[in-house]
Amino acid sequence: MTALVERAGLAGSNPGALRGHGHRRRKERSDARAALAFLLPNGIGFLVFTLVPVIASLVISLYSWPLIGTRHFVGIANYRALFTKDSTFRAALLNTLYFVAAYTPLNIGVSLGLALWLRGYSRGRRLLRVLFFVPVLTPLVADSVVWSLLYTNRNGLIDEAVHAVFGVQGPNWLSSPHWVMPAIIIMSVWQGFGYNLLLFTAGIHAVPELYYDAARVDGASAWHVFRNVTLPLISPSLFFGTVLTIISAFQVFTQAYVLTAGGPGTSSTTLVYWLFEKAFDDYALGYASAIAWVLFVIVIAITLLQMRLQRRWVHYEV
Amino acid sequence: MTAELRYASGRRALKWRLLKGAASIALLPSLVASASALPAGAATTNGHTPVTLSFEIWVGGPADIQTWDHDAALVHSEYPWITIKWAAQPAYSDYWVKLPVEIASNTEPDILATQNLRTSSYASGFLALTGSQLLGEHVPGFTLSGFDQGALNGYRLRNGDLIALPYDFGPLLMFYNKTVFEKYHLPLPSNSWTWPQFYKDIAAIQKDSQGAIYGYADDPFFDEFLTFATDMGAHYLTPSGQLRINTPQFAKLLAEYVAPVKEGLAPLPPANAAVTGQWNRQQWEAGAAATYIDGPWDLINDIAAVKSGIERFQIGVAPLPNGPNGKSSTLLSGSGFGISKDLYKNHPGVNRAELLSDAIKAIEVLTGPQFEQYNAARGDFPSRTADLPYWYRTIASYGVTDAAAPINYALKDAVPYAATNRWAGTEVAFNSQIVGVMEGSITPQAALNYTQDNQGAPA
Repeated sequence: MTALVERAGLAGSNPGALRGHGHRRRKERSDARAALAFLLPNGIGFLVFTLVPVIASLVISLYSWPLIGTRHFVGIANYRALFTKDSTFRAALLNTLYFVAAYTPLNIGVSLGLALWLRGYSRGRRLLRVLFFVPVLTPLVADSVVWSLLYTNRNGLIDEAVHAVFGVQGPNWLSSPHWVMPAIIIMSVWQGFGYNLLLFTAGIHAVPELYYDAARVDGASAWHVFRNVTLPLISPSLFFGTVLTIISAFQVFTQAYVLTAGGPGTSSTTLVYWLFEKAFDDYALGYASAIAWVLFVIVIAITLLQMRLQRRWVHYEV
Repeated sequence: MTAELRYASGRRALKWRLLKGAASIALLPSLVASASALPAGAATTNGHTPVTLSFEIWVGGPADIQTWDHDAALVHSEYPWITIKWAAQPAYSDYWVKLPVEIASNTEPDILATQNLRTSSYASGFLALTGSQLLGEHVPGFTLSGFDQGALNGYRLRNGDLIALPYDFGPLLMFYNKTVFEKYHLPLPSNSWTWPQFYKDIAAIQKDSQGAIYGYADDPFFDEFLTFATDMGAHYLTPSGQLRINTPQFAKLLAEYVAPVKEGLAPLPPANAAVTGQWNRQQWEAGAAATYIDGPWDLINDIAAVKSGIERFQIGVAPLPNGPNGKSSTLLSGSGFGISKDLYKNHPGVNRAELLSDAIKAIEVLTGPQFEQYNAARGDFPSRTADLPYWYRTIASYGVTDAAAPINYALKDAVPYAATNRWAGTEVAFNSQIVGVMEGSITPQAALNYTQDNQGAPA
């Protein structure tokens, strides 16, 4: 009752309640101080290493800012140049969208498929999970170097396998403008699906068994069980995985840098690769910052859209 | 002296030594503290102020670190008051990212490595020294005429000042698989060979080996293309030092440069070959290609790779085939040491003239005869003409006995590899296009236009 009165804000005239209220406020203040103390290290880190550099990069993007030499304010000229003069930026934007569009569903599909498969697979399940996760733990540069050997034309393992199975010469993965992006996507899916696999596995295991039992009793097929039981109940994991996968896909760099150097021509140049080149080969820091901000805006916009759309398909209550 | 007395005396001596030792240990921190508190300019070593000069150069592995440690020790043994200390040991590609950042933030160490083709790009990071500043007043007997003048001139600014002294250099050469040439009864490349002869030879190797061996491994790299173009008589820089390659002449030359790949006489490189570097060298060392272009600095590594490889063969060295003017005009590349513009800032309060003199002494020892001989024996092509025999002797001891004649011939008409101050971006732009040109998806003219339009910002 007292609690109800307090919650309703009606305890003002009661001295006992006042004492209780004061005690609660003191406790709240103490909790707030403790929370602040715990948040402070992370907050300082975020401020110094993220927020300040992010704001600084926005300022730099409004300058012609050579690494060595005189910098001067140019307003939005860097942004204008990006969209009106820079054909490589347009190619990089399209390549990045191509990568995101192909990589995200493949990654989600493979990891979800394997998570479902592993659910019904009892022997060696843990070992397989570890094996699938190993590429996530290995350095991306090392993975890319190994895959560049696998993709080698004429002597590479993949080419030899294609030749052995189909009797024809495989594509020139790392020299053909048509095959470099598929090469990067395949390697990236292999490297990255392990994280989502763990995420979806955890989601699937959290689904109460009684739902499956009920579905079986109702005579639901495997597809219907997946479509109407599993999928809605793991939708929060699916949403989380998709958001993170899309964000990481927009930031694709290492694979393009090590496997193809953005080439041939600009056929595998991605936004972050172009940003890197502008910053550390051309030393045009203002221009590179403008690219970073365009990427940032795209990622934020797509993430906000996803957050908005989640209401339609993500079910948080079990 | 009785045994007891000897014993007592020995005990006393031992105690005294222990006491002295303990006192020394106790006093050590204060001695160190008082030494470090010496006023700037205080003379402590033969009348010279001790100075520690930081230096930085790219390293490829423990062998490089050992070499530079040796050379740093050499400076100290010559001038005991000068200590050379590593500032960082970045990898080659990291060095060229780190250096401009350091120059921009005024945090570069005292002594810096550089390369002649980057003279324009990074001149602002170095102290420009006149010839007279670099002559014998600092190191007795030191003379600039001891260097190969092509190697030295690569570090000259337009007003004649020098920003660095060379420690190694070399003309680009054609390395060939002698065993393959002999197997298919082809005349060994000589100083008089020409590009038409070269194309004929590589086609013959491809044909006679029934496609098992490519005649040539074409490098998808700007340097090699410019060397080829220079040999063919073209000039990639205008008289005022600006890049100009988007011309029909260069388009024709680029088409010729990639022709061996398009005709199947050389393998198609992967798009990342320019980033990983030396893809063509790996093809050649593995015996998959019979010829490739490289500098003498890589010869010793080639020998080691071929000796331990599956395909073991005899190595031959030739100048680049003669161009239409009858000369082999190759580009000279090399590395050297200069002094940071922030030298004085790095050592506040120290007498400037003395500090500069010490830094000059250091780079003169780091590029001096003793160092050069040591390095030549380890395979670096020395920048001092008098030390070349050490290098030839080293190479001969590994079985390449006929390198002197072709290298001397190549040096005769070699020109320093000049570049603009936007070279890093220019190289990257070209390198991103060339595999597409070789593969056929990009035309030579389009690749050159792209390079011309994407030279990057001035460094």
